[in-house]
Amino acid sequence: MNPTATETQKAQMTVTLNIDGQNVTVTKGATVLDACKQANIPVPTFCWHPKLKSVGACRICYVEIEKFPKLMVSCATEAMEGMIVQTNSEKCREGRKAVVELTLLDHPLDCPTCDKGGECDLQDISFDYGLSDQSQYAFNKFRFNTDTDKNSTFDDLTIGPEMVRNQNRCILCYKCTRANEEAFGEHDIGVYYRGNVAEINAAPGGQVESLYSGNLVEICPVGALTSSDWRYQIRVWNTRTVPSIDPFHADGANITLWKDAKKVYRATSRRNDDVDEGWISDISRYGYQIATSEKRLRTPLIKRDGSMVEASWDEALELIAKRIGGIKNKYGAPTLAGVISPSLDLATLHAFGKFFRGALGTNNIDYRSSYAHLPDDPHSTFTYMSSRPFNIANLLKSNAILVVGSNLIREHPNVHLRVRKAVTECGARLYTANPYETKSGDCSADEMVVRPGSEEAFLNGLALSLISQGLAKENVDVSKIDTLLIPNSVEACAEVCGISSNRLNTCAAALARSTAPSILAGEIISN
Amino acid sequence: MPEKLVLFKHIKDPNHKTVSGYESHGGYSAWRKALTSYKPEEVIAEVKESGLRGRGGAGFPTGLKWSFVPKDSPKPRYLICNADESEPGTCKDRVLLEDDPHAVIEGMAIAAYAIGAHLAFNYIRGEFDYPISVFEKAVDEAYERGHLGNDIYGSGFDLHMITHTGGGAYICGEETALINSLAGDRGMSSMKPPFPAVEGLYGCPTVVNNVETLAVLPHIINNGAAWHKSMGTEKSPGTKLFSLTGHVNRPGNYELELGTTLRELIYDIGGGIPGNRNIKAIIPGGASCPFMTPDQLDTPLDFESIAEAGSMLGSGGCIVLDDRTDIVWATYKLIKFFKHESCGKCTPCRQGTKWITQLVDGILAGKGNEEDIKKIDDICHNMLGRTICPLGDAAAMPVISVVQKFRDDFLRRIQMQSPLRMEQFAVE
Ligand SMILES: Cc1cc2nc3c(=O)[nH]c(=O)nc-3n(C[C@H](O)[C@H](O)[C@H](O)COP(=O)(O)O)c2cc1C
Ligand code: SF4
Ligand code: SF4
Ligand code: FES
Repeated sequence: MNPTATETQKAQMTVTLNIDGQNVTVTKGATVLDACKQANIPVPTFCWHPKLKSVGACRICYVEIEKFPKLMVSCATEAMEGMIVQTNSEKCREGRKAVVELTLLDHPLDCPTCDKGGECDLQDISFDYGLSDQSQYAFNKFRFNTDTDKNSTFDDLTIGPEMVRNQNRCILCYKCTRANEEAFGEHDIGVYYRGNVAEINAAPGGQVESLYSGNLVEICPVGALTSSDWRYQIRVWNTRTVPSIDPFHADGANITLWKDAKKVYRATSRRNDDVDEGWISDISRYGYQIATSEKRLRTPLIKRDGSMVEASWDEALELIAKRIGGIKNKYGAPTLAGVISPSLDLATLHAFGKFFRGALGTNNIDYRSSYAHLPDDPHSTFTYMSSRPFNIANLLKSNAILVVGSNLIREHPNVHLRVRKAVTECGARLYTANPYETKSGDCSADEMVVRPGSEEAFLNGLALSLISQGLAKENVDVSKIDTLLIPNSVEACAEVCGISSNRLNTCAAALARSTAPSILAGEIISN
Repeated sequence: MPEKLVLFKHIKDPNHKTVSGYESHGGYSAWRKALTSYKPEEVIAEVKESGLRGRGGAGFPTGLKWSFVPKDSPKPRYLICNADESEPGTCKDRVLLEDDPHAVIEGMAIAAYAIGAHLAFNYIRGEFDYPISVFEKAVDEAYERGHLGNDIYGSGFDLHMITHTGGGAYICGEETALINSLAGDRGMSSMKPPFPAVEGLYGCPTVVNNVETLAVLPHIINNGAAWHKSMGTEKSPGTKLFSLTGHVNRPGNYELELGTTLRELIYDIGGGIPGNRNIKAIIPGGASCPFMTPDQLDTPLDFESIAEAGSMLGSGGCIVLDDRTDIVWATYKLIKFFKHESCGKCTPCRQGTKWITQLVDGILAGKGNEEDIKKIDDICHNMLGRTICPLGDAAAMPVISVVQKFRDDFLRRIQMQSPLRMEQFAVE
């Protein structure tokens, strides 16, 4: 391609606008707010979120655009070629000031007792745009009744295992409900009633307890949603942050730990679009609590007279050495075996292996503890995630996805969200084949529930189906394959899986016809 | 000008609401004509040429709106009839649904054909029990007679119709909220763009038209664009239904040529004010339109003239207030309605309507002061043009007009410093 053609093409993909006297070039389709962010020009926002569709609800992000008679909400106005934007004009500031005043109308201003204090968007923006003296509002503020919760203080209502709501502080930006539906496909939090008495609450009779509920607390711009772990523990300015990685899932969401000299107080997301888009699961978020949990074992326990009794490490190690030594001497080393959790770090796993092989003289070491992981293949390695280069973000480019043998949301909560997004926002077709129904199935084109242990037959069936539909790659020697596979017909494979062969054929065809198919094989099929 | 009956020609004939009665008056001939001898583009062109403007409130040219539907979209298209009629003072669509349901069906069919929709919805206000039952019966009859269904009149065109009943929210008459509600979501407005014609119901091109707009279509197809243009004014052709309410001797729904004056509507047709009292204020087009004063009685009722006079023709719900009306109390009733109906999505409307309601309430309770008037005006200006949907404007505009035109009434109330006694203002 000659350079001029590339340049014109590039020009067609971008627009250049002028913001506060500065030319900014952004990709076509970007909003005025995106352009401001790119140029590091500050614009306040409440209801905008980088990963959600803009709805223009809060109206704080006003900018003035030449030739537009009204103030425009930058988060929902597309940047156009040649636009002349002012983000800090008199009219803008007046508009934002009015929005702050209206937003604060019913707000209790109870910052001293609010856990969001110090990291609250409303606090910050009120300092920038609020009135310097008293509000003109001379009426009693509207109070939401929280009588239903007898244990409540300060109008708090517990609406989930880890979530407390204070409706009086809510500014109805609808970020929580939007994220819940758009990003997570959950419906356990909603808006009830209408207008200025609209309130955010758990679905009737339910709780906000989806695996991603902690994100709702994190994105709430005010102290309307708070989490039970952080509440009343410490002020944010008394903490330090450390970047970290979620230790509970192999997809490795990026997190930030908030701590003081003594302990960790919470974990929040640390957005990395290659991995997590700023959403983390509740296990990643609240899991750190085990580090300082009261329920945690602090000393070894030894069973004496039928009950577990606390003991010292010396006692315990001595006992173990005595017993293991006894068995080894009496029955020989091969009767010993070690099972270790694969979630442990490499150094520990290495030491464990060394101890069993070197010190005890046995090769009986395993990490698989469930039926699903029973060994067939001595070479199977335990890899939660493929060791091949794999970028979670690339799932969005897939137009057909097969998830086989994986309860994805439990295994890799962030991969699950990305698969979901590929389906709901990018139009991919998703097929799942698992021994039970999973959350991913909710947005699938076909959720195939196959017999436990029949995943191999399912995959063989797919291969055979490709051959019989004439969709196999040309360079594949078809004659060899179908004799290798057992059972050797699509129908027989489908029979083993307990599904109709039609469904297998449809899935195979969708994958074959896709220009960018993805197949995610999970731990259920690690045999 | 006397009444001009086009839509209301057979409205008093009880037989007209049955399919046989409707057919005996020439009903469904326009649908047959459109389907068998017009191309969809020709229907659009004819309607454009007729100058028909939407009767739902904004007066947007109907043919133009249809032409925004992308020609090359692979998605299905939908037509929605907006029968959520909830604008205070407006009750004309109800009459059409009740007494001339087949005209609505025929109009919907013509519009659906023009935009290439094979599925049409009628979103009817939930409280309209009787109109809903009449309309549903009429749809059944239309299917039986082959006016709806597959391969209509052997043309190969399929059209199906679904009646959907609303849940009782004014905001669901606003087209984006209506579409959200119809799709099963919360009835809340969305930002435009994207416009429904491009991305509406289920993300597909959708046209939303008012009941009355649709009911005019068969007449335009039958009699031609020139006939339609021969009525009304140059820029607002045709006839329009007006719901005359308030302090008038003969309240009711009347069909008039556009351009008839307010005076003719109120005095010649509505029989004037009871007890020959004077008019204090007129809301010409439903509760969301700025108030007009008696000196403006000679304003012609068409989109341009009313706009020039500082108000809006809206949906044609003309509310007359006589000189005994406490205008502050009327303002209170009005803003309280909008506060109650605000969907709560955007801050200026949600909080602004609430604050204004409290301020006006305070003035009524004898606790107001002069600054409150300015405050009310300020809040209105912070709502005007700053909200997601026009409900915010609809709430602000009449209030702005009131505090401007009836400032003295507010001052008098404020100076009285005593709570309002309701019985003083009971309507006769
Ligand atoms: C708050 C609000 C309420 C509305 N209610 C109605 C209604 O009840 N009926 C109606 O036809 N249009 C209503 N509209 C106007 C619709 O949004 C839409 O413009 C209209 O249905 C278009 O039809 P038309 O082009 O035939 O006029 C309302 C608009 C707003 C902002
Ligand atoms: S609870 Fe928080 S996130 Fe949800 S609407 Fe209220 S302010 Fe917004
Ligand atoms: S203007 Fe009012 S009704 Fe319309 S979206 Fe905003 S809050 Fe809802
Ligand atoms: S951030 Fe733009 S309207 Fe809320």
